[in-house]
Amino acid sequence: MEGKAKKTINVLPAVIGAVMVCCGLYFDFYNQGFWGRGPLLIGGLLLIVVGLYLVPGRKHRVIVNGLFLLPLIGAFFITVLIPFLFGIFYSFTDWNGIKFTQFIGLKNYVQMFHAPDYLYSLLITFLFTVLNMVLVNFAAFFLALLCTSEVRGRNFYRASFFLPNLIGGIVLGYVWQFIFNKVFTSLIAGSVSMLTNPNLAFFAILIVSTWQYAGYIMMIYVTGLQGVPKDILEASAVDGAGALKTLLHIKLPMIANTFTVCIFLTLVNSFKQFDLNYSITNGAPSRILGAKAVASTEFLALNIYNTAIARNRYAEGQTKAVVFFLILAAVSLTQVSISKKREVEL
Amino acid sequence: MPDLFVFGGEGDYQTWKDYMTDLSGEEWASQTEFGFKSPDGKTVGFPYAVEGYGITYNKDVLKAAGIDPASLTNYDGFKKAFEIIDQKKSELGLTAVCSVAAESGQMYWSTGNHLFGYYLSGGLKRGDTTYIDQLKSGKVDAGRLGQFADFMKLLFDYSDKNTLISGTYDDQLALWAQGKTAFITQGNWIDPSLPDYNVKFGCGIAPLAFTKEEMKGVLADCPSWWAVYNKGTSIDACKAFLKELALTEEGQKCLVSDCGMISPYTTCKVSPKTPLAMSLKTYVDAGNTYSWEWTKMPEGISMNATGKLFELYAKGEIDKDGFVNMMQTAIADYVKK
Repeated sequence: MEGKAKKTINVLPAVIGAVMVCCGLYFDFYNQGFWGRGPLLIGGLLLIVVGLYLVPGRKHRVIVNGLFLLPLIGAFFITVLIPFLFGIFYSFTDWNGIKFTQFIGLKNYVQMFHAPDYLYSLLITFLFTVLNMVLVNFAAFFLALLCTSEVRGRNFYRASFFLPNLIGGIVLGYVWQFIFNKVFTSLIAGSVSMLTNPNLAFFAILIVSTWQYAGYIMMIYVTGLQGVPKDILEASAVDGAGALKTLLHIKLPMIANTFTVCIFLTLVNSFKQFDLNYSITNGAPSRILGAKAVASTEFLALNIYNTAIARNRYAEGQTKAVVFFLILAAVSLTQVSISKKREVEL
Repeated sequence: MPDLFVFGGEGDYQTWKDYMTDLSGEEWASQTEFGFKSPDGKTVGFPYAVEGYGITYNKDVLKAAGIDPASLTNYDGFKKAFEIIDQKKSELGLTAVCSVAAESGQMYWSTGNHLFGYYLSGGLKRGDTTYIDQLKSGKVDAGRLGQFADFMKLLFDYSDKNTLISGTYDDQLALWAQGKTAFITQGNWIDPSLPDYNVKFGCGIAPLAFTKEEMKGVLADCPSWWAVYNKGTSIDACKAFLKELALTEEGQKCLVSDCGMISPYTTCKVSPKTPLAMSLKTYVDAGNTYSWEWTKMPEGISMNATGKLFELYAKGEIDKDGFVNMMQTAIADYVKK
């Protein structure tokens, strides 16, 4: 009898909390002038938490663990998961950034694949991703070899190669824009800026992106190379393996997991390229395609931004973002699963 | 939601109209022709400044070249002036005649909005919406656009090449403000930047008169408006603030002297002291202005469609017919979507 009463008392806070949350939500929708709706909601939520803690039984431990995770999970939900779900939801509506009036089903999805500018962006983004991934990794690995070799002042090199990564992309972009537009044109007298030619402008972004990102990836490779066990290297040296053989047959297989990480990072980052794109060219110069002009260097992220912000078509931009996510997730998961197979278990 | 918010024209109005207070009854509303009116004639936007633009010139250079700014009112006037100045370039210390920037990534607003704005309303009576209505239904007037294209070609031909195809706003402004060109396609908003370049020469604004016929006014309008949030808690205080700002001497001083703008109110007694504002004021006072119909264009059109064509035209990748035709398809496509 006593046990039952205790149980009831323990459940009571949770029930009161739930009622308070419901009241708070009710006021949120129907009586926004009421001052107490905030305290009601928060107080209710707190009571539910307390109530859950007091719930007896075998599940007690699980609940306590869950409560400790709550701050993190809450933050994750509020900042990542809920906006993401909202985004998917909005992509099926005619949302204009403030409100939506109707559901339009898959119309946004159908429409965007009929837009030549989007398809063009998709194409050059893929191209950029592949080229940038290869370039950054080659550059970074080479720099990492340099910084782990016996060369003098390697710590200085390491710091200076890493430095560009510490400067914000937007600032970097404008500095490089100045270099392309002003410095190069005056160094080579009479030449016009690289940024006025659609193909060269693409490579300009590639150069800056590699320059900026290679140092960061280098650091990861350096860590990987330093993690190769010394005994294996010594053993191979004793067996008469030269520097090249050691690199190809010992170091490379040993740091395959580093490659997985680095390729993943560069892949995702190249695909999401926005700040350099925005500040160096912002889509310019134009390219004539058929009888129409397209922005020759407008990558996907910038295309999404322009659709939502400049054109004020938030739902369409959101739709593109959802597809962007799907492509990115598919490509990077494929990459990781392929790379994983090549890794050596230590 | 803040009690006062800025909106930039018709596109924004459509998005935010449910949140705007009707300000028609305010005292200032009857003392300006620049207020933003809803389709049913209610004033909902408070105008705080008049901005105007055209082809801004260096008065000293024009004088040294023997050109009367008053002659710059049609295509031929400009053509003649450009030719004369081009011949005397070295003795005038110029590197080019005009400072124009037509790169599509960052200067689309100057070409696709401002310059193109002259096609839409240059030479028309204020409030004449012929060409903007046409544009909104996806059409252009090929004849008028052809004349406009001719003038653009003229302007591009006499511009500094590098600034034209790769210059930013700062590059464009620096070139002109350092006295290296005679003309720049910007408006009175460059006034506050002039001291940075230590500008000593006199300057004024001429119409971007692309037509064969005379065009004597410049495009001048309120660039954006302030609206009062209609569910706000201090609507009356906002109204009082706007009234003070528009009609009291202190408010006028704040807008005109401190912010360097031109007051859109007929009762304003404070006059601007900066050169281009003064030049613009003569047009406004004489009623010689055309409205900014370009603010009614579909949102983002200059950035996503028309700006690119100006760049291609400036680079010489398309000719006049190409410009007119591609403009036609670009606008039709953009409106359709």
